[in-house]
Amino acid sequence: MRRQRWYTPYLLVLPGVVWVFGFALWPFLNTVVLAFTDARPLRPVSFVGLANFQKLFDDERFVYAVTTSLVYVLVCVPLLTFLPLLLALLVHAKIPAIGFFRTTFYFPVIASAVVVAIVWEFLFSGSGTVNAGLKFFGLVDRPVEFLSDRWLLIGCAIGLTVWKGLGYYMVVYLAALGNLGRELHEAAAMDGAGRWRRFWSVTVPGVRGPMMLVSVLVCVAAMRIFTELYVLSNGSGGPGGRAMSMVMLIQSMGKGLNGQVGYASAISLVLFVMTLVPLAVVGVVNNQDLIREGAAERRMRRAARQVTRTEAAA
Amino acid sequence: MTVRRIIAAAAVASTALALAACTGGGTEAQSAPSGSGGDITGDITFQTWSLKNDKFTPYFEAVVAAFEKAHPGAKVNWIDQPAEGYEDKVLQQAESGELPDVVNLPPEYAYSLASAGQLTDLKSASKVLGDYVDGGVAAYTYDGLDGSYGFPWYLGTELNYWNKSLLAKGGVTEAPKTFQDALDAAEKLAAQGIQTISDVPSPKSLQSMVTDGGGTQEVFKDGKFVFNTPQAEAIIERYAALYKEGAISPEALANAGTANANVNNFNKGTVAWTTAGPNYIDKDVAVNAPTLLPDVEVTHGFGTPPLFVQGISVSSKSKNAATAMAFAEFVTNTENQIAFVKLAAGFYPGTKAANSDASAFAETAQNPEQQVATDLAASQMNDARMLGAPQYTEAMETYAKQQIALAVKGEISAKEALDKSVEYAQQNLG
Repeated sequence: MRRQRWYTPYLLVLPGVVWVFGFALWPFLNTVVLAFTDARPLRPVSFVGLANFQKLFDDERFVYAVTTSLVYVLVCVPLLTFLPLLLALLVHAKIPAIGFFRTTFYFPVIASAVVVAIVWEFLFSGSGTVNAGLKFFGLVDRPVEFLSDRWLLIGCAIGLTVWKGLGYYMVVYLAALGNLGRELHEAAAMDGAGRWRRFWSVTVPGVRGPMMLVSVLVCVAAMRIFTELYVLSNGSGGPGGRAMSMVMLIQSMGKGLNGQVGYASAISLVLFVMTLVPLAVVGVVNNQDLIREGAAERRMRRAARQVTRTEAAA
Repeated sequence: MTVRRIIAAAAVASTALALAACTGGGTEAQSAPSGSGGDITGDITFQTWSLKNDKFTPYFEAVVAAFEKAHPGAKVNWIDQPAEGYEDKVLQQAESGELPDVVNLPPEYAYSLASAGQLTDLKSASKVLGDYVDGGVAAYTYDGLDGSYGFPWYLGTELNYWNKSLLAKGGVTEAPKTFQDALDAAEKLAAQGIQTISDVPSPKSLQSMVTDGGGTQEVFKDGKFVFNTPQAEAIIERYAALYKEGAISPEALANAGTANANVNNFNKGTVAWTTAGPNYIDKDVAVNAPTLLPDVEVTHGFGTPPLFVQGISVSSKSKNAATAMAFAEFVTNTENQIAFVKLAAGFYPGTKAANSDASAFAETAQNPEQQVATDLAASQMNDARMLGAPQYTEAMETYAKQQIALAVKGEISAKEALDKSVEYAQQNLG
């Protein structure tokens, strides 16, 4: 067998590196630079230092957008971490035709988010199905403003996200449940643990890894929410644009011939940093053992040093 | 409702009749180009906005063929962009130095591009600019910029459309003729649980609403945004009251800042009133909501009705400037404009000569109410004028509509909404 040339491995990774640099790193660095400029399309650019970031705090739309995104995260993470697990437990059972139910629950994942959001718009609009139903049963006199009230709109969008995400995360949990042996459950049952007890003490710890993964994925996705809110509000973000998410704000700020590209880049950068926070938390939680070990090691080394020092002094 | 939406709607409604009618494109290119120097040869690109379809494609192909025949050696590459995202497309082209040589631009986009030195000043480069209608040329002439930056191509306005059966249910026997009547009718209908309005006022539409009551309303004057007038405030306050009474659909607020929401609601038969372009009956109602057709009644636009203009601009970066100028003049000459508006019912050509005889381009209305609309549009074209201002961008309009939506909902006061919108516009000027 001929030996490969030294550069062969580099050659093999080159396309990937070029791709990452061209379509991820370069635009990212560009955004960082733009965030410190007053860039607008077709106009000369000048550096403005931190002015864009100062402007953020005076801009009520930014405050609304951050609030919307954070609320989205706070509501979506617990819902999309636990509901899919319960759903997975439900379809985990080996009963006839369970494949049909699994497919059904997975169905919303395949559907296009835009199409689904348009269907939800039909449901929740002033003359939509839900309002017509409420009116028919005499529960309301005039249509409920599902899509023109800030919190109801955000609520509808969250409902859509959760409904659409359930199936996807259910599959993740199904895989994990498959690896969870029956022995533990049997042992726990022998010890007299009830269903609830076994869920919390056997199932949940057993899927802890995937659960972490799911919560991080949900967290990042919720932080960057766009499609659901955009389609449900027809791109307006509700009255006053108060239900805009951060990505919607970036989009509306940066687009067009008069877009404020520099300012939009600054918001992007803030969003990037905000997305790092949950990732860091999970990183710490996931590597707790490593961190604990490291800390213990440091303590031991320090103790050892102290011992040597006292010995030397003696 | 923007013209491109109307055209997009028109695009959907392409018919065999139109195909048969469009033989006018292949006229001889007799007029010599007025562009100063250079031979009319080489390749140029011509870009239209959402006009490549069964109806308009044969027309443009014929125009291009006629031009190429008259100028051997010249080649026109016709491209078309989809209705959605045109602004971003044009921006992308301009930034990468690939703006088409001859390009269809609405006045606001042309203003941004002209400010950035991307467009040729037609006042100095073309000798035929005087042939075009003054209002149209004025739309492409901007404060603070010398010259004019587009040949007026086709012009339109906006009319009021009413759902007669909904009006009757609310006890209103006659379609409102003034804005005040419209609001009173809305109040009456609300008492019967019927919604009338599905749009919130914007600084642009407020211009028509205020002038209907005899007032004056400007958006931008002497370097300042001035649309926060007491009259505008009063109208928004009335809207807020009407909203409480149920005269305004919740969609009006949900969709504040998005085009066409009112037309869609009107088509669904959920509201009694909408504004739309002059070809709305034949091109939209007849196609998308035919059951509604017998109930629709059209009346003239309120106050100073809006004037919509589309124009043809020439890139200042064109490699074959003489060819580009010659083609821009050719595609917008009287003959070709008449042939074009024959296909786009309810719109008006951009040259003075073409407008001298309206019967030359009047398309036969397919529905009786369309004839009424066409006549009304013709009668109000002289009063129509561009609303807003070149400096007043879509982003400002969107922001203002959203604030006004909040005011209509009662979360902030009308004054607060208008003041905030003026402040926002002022901050983003330039």
